[in-house]
Order: sequence, then C-alpha cells, then structure tokens
Amino acid sequence: MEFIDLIRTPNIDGVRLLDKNGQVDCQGKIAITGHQLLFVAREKELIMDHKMVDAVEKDTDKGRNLVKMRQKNGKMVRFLLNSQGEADDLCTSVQLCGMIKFTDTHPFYFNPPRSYEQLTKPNVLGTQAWFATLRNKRWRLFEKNQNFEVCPTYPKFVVVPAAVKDDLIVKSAKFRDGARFPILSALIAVGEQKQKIHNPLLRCSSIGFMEARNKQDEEILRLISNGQKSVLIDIRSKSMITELKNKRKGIETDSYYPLYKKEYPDLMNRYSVHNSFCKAWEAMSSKSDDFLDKLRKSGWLAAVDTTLWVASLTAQAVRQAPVIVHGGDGIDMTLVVTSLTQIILLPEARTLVGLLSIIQREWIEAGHPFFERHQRSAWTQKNAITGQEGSTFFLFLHAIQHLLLTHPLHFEFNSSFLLRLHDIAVSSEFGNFIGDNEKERARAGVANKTYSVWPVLASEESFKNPLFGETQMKPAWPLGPSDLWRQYWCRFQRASSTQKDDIFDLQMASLKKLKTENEALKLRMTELAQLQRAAR
Amino acid sequence: MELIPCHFYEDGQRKDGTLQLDENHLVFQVGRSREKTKLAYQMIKLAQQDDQQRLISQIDIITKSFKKFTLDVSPAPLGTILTRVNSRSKAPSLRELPAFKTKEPVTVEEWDEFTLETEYAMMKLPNNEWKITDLNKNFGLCSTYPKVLAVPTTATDFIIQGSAKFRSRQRLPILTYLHGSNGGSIVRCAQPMAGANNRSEMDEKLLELCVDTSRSRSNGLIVDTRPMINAMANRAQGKGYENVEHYQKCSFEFHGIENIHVMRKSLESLEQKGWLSSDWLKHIYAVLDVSNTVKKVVQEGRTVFVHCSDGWDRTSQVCAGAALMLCPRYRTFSGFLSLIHKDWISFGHKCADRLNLSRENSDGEASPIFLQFLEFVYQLMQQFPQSFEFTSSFLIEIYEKAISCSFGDFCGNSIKQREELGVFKLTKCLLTHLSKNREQFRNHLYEEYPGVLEPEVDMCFIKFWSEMYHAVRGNLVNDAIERLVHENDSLRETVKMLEEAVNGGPSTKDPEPEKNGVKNIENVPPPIKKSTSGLLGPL
Repeated sequence: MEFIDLIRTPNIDGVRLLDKNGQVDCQGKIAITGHQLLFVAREKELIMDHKMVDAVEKDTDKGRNLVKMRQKNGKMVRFLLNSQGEADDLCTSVQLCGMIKFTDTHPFYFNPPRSYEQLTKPNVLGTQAWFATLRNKRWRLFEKNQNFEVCPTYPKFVVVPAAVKDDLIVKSAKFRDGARFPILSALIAVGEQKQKIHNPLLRCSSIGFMEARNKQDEEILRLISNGQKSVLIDIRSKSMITELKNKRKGIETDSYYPLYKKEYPDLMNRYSVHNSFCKAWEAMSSKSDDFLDKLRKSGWLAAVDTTLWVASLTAQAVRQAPVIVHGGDGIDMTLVVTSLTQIILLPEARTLVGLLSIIQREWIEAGHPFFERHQRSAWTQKNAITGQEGSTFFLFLHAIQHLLLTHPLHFEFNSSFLLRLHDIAVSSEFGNFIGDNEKERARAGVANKTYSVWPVLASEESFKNPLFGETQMKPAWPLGPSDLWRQYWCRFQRASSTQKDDIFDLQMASLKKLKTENEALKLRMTELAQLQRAAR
Repeated sequence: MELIPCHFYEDGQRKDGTLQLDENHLVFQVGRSREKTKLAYQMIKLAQQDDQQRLISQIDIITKSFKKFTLDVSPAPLGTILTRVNSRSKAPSLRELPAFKTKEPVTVEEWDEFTLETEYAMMKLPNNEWKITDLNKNFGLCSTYPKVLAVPTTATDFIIQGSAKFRSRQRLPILTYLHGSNGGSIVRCAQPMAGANNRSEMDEKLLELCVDTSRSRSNGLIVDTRPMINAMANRAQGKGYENVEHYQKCSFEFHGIENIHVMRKSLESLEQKGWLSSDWLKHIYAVLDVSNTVKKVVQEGRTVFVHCSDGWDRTSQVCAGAALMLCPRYRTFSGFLSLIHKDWISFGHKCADRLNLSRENSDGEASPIFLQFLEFVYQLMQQFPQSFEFTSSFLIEIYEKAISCSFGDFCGNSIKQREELGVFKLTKCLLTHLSKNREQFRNHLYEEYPGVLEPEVDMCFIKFWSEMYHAVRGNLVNDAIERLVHENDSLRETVKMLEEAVNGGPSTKDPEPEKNGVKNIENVPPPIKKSTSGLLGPL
C-alpha cells in the first residue's frame, strides 16, 4: 500500500484550531500520515486516527476555508486553513486514508513501546481454551471448520453437543443463514451442589429460505435438548415472525421441533438499533427544549431497556431448560442477547478478564463484523452509507453500563473500561477488533502481524472497581429504566473547558483510598496483636 | 392497638412480622427482631386495597415521597386499617398536625439556631449600603414577609411603604443575597401592580436605590422568572411586569419557569409515564437556567431583582438556587439549612399549601416547588460531587421530614401564620434537628471549594433522580463509602488502644488518618468490632 497516493499534502502550516464556540483556540501545523492526522501547536497537540473520522466537511462560507471533522465518538474538530487548495487537500487526504482496506490499517504498522512486553498477558479465553474449562462430556469441539469451509464466519473451533456427529453438521449447516449452525455459548449451572445440572445456552442464525425443512437440523436440535423440554428464543420482530409463519418459511415449524417452546420477544434488529443510535446523536445536538422529546423518539434508551429485558428473559429460561437464541444472521442482536445473558448470570463474566473473554469468544470469534459495522457512524452523508453500519456492540456496552450502575458490587471493572472498549473497537492501533471474522483475520495474519490490546487493558488500574466483591454470585438482574450514559454521550458536550469529574469515578477513587487504609490498619492490628501475645 | 400478623413487601422483598397502628405511624416489626419500619400516616399519599389479580387482603401504599409498600394482612381487619390510615394521612387542620402533639420538650434555643438575623449578620449586614428595618415587626407592612427586612440605607420608610403598596401582596423588593466582595446582590419581590399603565414613583425609586448600592455602576436587571405570556395574563388583572421606561438603571428579561399548576401536572406525568416521557426534567432545567442567569449578573457585581407572580415560588427557587452556586457556605450543612430557612421559610413560600399538609389546604394550591429546588440541588451535586458537605440522601431526608410534619418549620404558609399556630412554642424545630443529626449524610468526597459553581446548563446533563423517585432503591456506593469510613475509624481507634497497650504510649508508627474528609465524627462507633476481636485477646 502506497499512502503517498492518498495523501495530497503531508504538511500544512498556519492552521488554526477552533474551539467549541468557533473562536480560534491556537495556531499550529498539520501533518498527515497514512493513519493519523497530527496537529501541533505550541500549547497543544492533537492526534486523530483517520479511521476515527466519520464525516469531513468543507465550509467556504464568507470566504473562509473551514474544515469540519466529526469523529465517530461525537467529537467535532474544526480547522481554519489559509487557502481553498489546502482545505481540499486536507479533506481528500483524510477521506481517502479513512477508506483503506483493513489489511492496511494502523495495527499492521504499529510497534508498541518496549514496556508493552513487560505487561502480563491476561488469561483471555478464546473458544478452545474456554472449552477446556468446561469439563463436560456432553460437549465437544467441532474441528471441521479449520479452513472456514463449513461456516465462513465461525472460528476454527466451535463447541457442539458430543452426540452430534460432524457429518450431521456439515450436511445441515447451509440450512441456516450463512451456515451458522447451533453452537454453545455458555453452560449455566443450576441446582444445589449434588443435583447440579448444566443447562446449555446456544446460538445460531435463523433458517434460510432455501428449504422449508431439514431433517438433520431437526436432529441436531433434538440432540441439543437431550430429551428435555427446551426453549427457542427467536428475537426477530413480531411483524417478521408473522410474515414467516404465514409463508411457512424461514422459521422453525412447531411440529418439526416438538421439544421446543418458542418465544418471540420482538427485539429490534440491527437496522433499527443503528437508526436509534443516529437519532440519539441528533438529539444530543438539539436545543434544550427539544432534547427530551428527541431522545425519547430516537428509541435508544428503549432499545437498551428492551435488550436487557430480552437478556433477562433468556437468563430466566436457561435456568430452567436448554435455550437456543437466534435472530436473522446471528452476528448482531443474537450476540448481544447471549453475551448479556452470561453477564447477568455468571459472576466470572463480570470480572475484567471475564468480560474480555466474552468479547473474544462471543463477539470477535463469533464473527461480529467489527470492520463493516464501524466503518461509518452517525454523521456520514447519506451517499456514503453502505447499509452495513451498526452500533450493536455499543448497545451491548451501554446495557452493561446500566447493570453496572445498579449493581456496583457485582463488577470488577468500571464504566471507563467500557468506554475504552468502545473506542478501541472503533479505531485502534491494536489488532483485536480489526476485520470482520476469523477467516479474514487468519488470511491477513492478524495474530502474527499485530499486537493485542488485552495486556494493556488488563494492567490498567484505573479500570478496576474497588467495590467489587468476588463473592457476588447472585445474578445481576436488570433493575429500573436505563439512563443516558453521559460519560459517552456527553463526552464532548461541555461548554466550559473546566473538566468536571464524574461522581461515580470520584466515589470509586475515594473507596480505593479507604480500602487501602483499611488494609493497612488491619495489618497493623494483626501485627500488634501478635506483639502483644508474644509479650505475654 | 393490637399486633396484627402481616407480610410486608418493600422492593419486591417479602418480610414476615407484625403490624401495629400507633397514634402517628404504621409500625411494621420483622419477626421478633427489633427491626422496625415506621411509616407516619401523614406520609401516606394513597392506601388502597388491591382488587386486581392479587389477593384481596393486600393493601398497596404509596407515600408522598414516592415509596411503594404492600401489606398483606390475612385474615384481616382490612377495613379498620384502611379507615385508620386514610383518616390520618392528612390532618383535618394545621393545628392538628403531628408536630403539635410532640411529647418532647420544646426549647427556645432550638428555634434560635436558624434566624434571618444571623443570616444577615453572615452577610455582614447592616453595612454602608444596606440597613435592616423592623417596619414589618407586626406584619403590618407585608403579612407574608419576615419581621426584619434588609433594604438600601437610603430608602426612607415612605419609599418602602409606597413600594409595598405597588407590589402584589405588598411583597416589596427586599435584599436576600449580598455578594461578599463585589457588592452584587439579589433582591426579591412580587410582581408590580402595573396593569396597563400604572406606576409608582416610590417603587421606581426603591429599585433605583437598590441598583445604586452596587459598586459596578452598571444597570440592574429585573428577572421576571415567568414566561412572557403568563406575565401578560397578569397584566390584564392589574398586575403584570415593570415598564422599563419608568425604571431607570434597569433592564428587564422574561424567563421560562412555568406556574404551580403546570408543575403539579408535570409531577403526575413523571410518576405515571417516567422521566423520558414527561417534561419534568425540562422544568428542573428551567430552574437551573434562570438561577444561572441570576448568578452571572451577581458575579458582575450588579443588582438583580427576581420576581414571579407572588414571589414565593419560582422566586424562592431562583434566589436560593443562585445563592447556592455563588456562596460556598450554602453548600455546607448549616449553610444549606440556613438558606432553606431564609428563602423558603422566612420569605413566605407557602409550605403548608404547596405540600398540602392538612385538609385546610386545598389540592389546587399543592405544587412540588420545594421538591424541584431539592432536585435542582441534586443536579448540582451530580456536576460537583465534591462541592457539597452533604450527600443527596440529606435532600431526601429534608423532603421526607418536611412532609411528615413531626416538626413545625414547614407547618404554615408564613412566619405570621406559624406564630398564630404556636409553632415556635409547641413544636420541635426541624432545621435544628437536621443540623444535629447530620453525620449520616456527610459527603465523604467533600472538599471545601471557595469558588463559584459554573454548571453545564445543558438539558443532556439534567439527570433523573432515581433515588428520590425510587426507580432504583438506595445508593450502594455511598453506603459502601459510609461503611468503610466508620470501619476505618473504629479500626484506627483499636490500633491506637493496642499501640498504647504494647508500647505503653502512642506509637509513632500510627498510620496517618488519610484525608478522606472525615472530621469531627460525633458518634464514633464502638471501638472494637466483633469480627476482629478474636485477634486481640484480653487487653
């Protein structure tokens, strides 16, 4: 890749950076590299990933040469340039550099500082490693997807019922959309010690339109339920379900899957979630009078609430019976539901490394197309929209944020951690979130050519929640309606430059201090008690 | 009354125990334990039999502070309980409120702790520009104002009386906040009786004299907190707003805080539809917005006049709101209580009517104006978590204590009415009580900050107060902080005792108490904790 073809001008001098109110903040120069834009002034320095830029707009009103750049996190950056040519060059360069293939992106060129090597590698579990921890004879690794031939969007290894033969899977896979046959998401332990059983939570895609029924698929589902009454949660919209039922296509017919009770919780799909996301951003820039109305009408908070409700419904179901979740192609809302269900139910999923494992297994390896979904965001011009945009991963994080607020003792991480995860998923010099699935990553050699951000995240003390008690085994059921996640939505909304601290962060800092003191005091007390005993 | 076996549901959790109906409370006792939930009848907004779905022996209770309980008393004297509760949830008259039935001795001192005189003294009044007049000592000037009033030194009695005649309910312009260093001030009043064309030279003169007290030499600003359309409607009734042509040295602005009826309906819609579908937060925003405007004018050292219609609702919100941002003292326990005393209780916010305390007060006069002010404070706390000496639980406590009426401060619409009712002789003082019982509400993040609060005035920062409205119960984080602070205090105490026992004197190794804002804890818990006592052995 020759970036020289994309960068019209590598350096621009005499650039003025404008502040929120359109006043000149400072003057400096811009340098454009293949992946970043650097603005350097005497007082400040600004680095912007091209991939972080969602919309670039030139404003020549009143003879000015203003370039406005909207980042995917909502931040607006405005530069005033000296000539129209410079403005054009800047816009074109940033736009072109933002459109490069994922194999040319920053992670492939990035070398971390030496300190990176000293970081401890956290034990983030991919599917294979996770499977090893299950120790359950009813499940096995399916190894026939080494070349991504059975399912192009699944990883090399997935977990399936031990009773299901490879042959059955290979023959039936295509029956489901994108050949995403049912695989294990989690095992949920229920009951007391002696009578403990493990109910499986599985996910797949919905039935495709090629065939009306498939005996092998029916057999697989029968083997999954293992003779028990099971639940199938089809999260597609109510209107879709009705239509499919009438057509008797693309949906599990009751008589073919007799062991399954069907639930249709009517969750919104990726398109409407993203639409809500974009409208919520519109609300953020509206006048105070319209704000609440617009926020409500955007449907974003309702989407968070409904998603949490569907996840808790799934969690309740899987505490009683085997559960399969699907909805459409199974790479967006299905993943939100299965991963949130685990966060609600499993204490290990609420640790910092546990959440990274969920993301690794249930998002990255599960084939959520991070590249496509985050290529464009809420400010992109209509003609640049590809239809592949999505904000489902952010929806997932926002839902966790709500659980975190209502169950502060249940989570090892804090909301800053979630915010960072979002930023990294959108644009980062690390390789974890690039590409759309494991097949693409394998072809591009992501594992060898890029660095993982997990060690950085896991070693960051400021992401830890001092309130976390490892004994919080109880599920974190969603409580109350969700609120606007201001750390995210209002990040660049402040009028005054004075940084105000988040109340939650401050409380956490104070708790950390108190805990350290508490430990020191306890230690001292033990010492003294020993001294006293020795003296007697 | 006898003990009734009962199940009690709070937060979806069931507790078994007994129910007792005492004179002023429903008392629920869990099992044989000492854990008691006391609910004053006066706190209950609605108690009704649930006739849908569930068993008929259940009673659903909603309190005036938005809590929900369910009682299951089976087999039950259900009718008796309902009659009792509903007959007592609102006293027949103010004189019959629980506050007047207190069995504890009432002292003169408790009513002397918070006075307007002390507050004026804190503002270093009287001074060269402002004097304190006792023209209203018999409430002859204005029946809803306090006895002492701060006015410009240059204002003669004639001017003061003239101005009072021209203001709705004689609520003439009175100083309520004086900036410590720049001479900027907040003067509050009611709308003028301007009608289409009336004017009063005395009133115009008084405003001019007020503006002249400022050292900035710039014009004063009249902030009419009402939307213009409200003010116009009042003009048709002979009231209205100032014609600036006649008020030299003043400019004039309308603002957007709605009236008490809009607020009452808005709260209903908040309760029914939730914050996102009601306009409640917009009203909170309006209070913040207007308070912020007033604050800015004072920062410039100018005089700002604040009024609405009668000058006891929106005016109280905005005057107190601006002062809270301007002056750090008001963000401490005693300062905040003093602020409530000044702008709400003394200046005639109609507490009894607005909180709808008894059957003497009419439903049409009820309005959540004071609640909105507390919610405004909550918003500031969210933006400035370290700037308040108390936590938001203190605000909830104030609200609950105000409506439960076991104290006298809020029992009445004005000082005059309280005197007539005998509040100061027969009831206990809430503000003093709160001041004494402050420790559990201490904000451990507090760091004294001498500056002015500059909040973000943007709708997206206005947060739904889930603790007040019980969408989410309690504040686990605050509780954890509180618990650790106390645990550390007692640990420190234990360590100190051990050090002394081991070394025969205090050790230099004593871990320094960290700066976590813990000072003067009055009720130090017992020094040795059960869980750790095993380590100690006999001392």
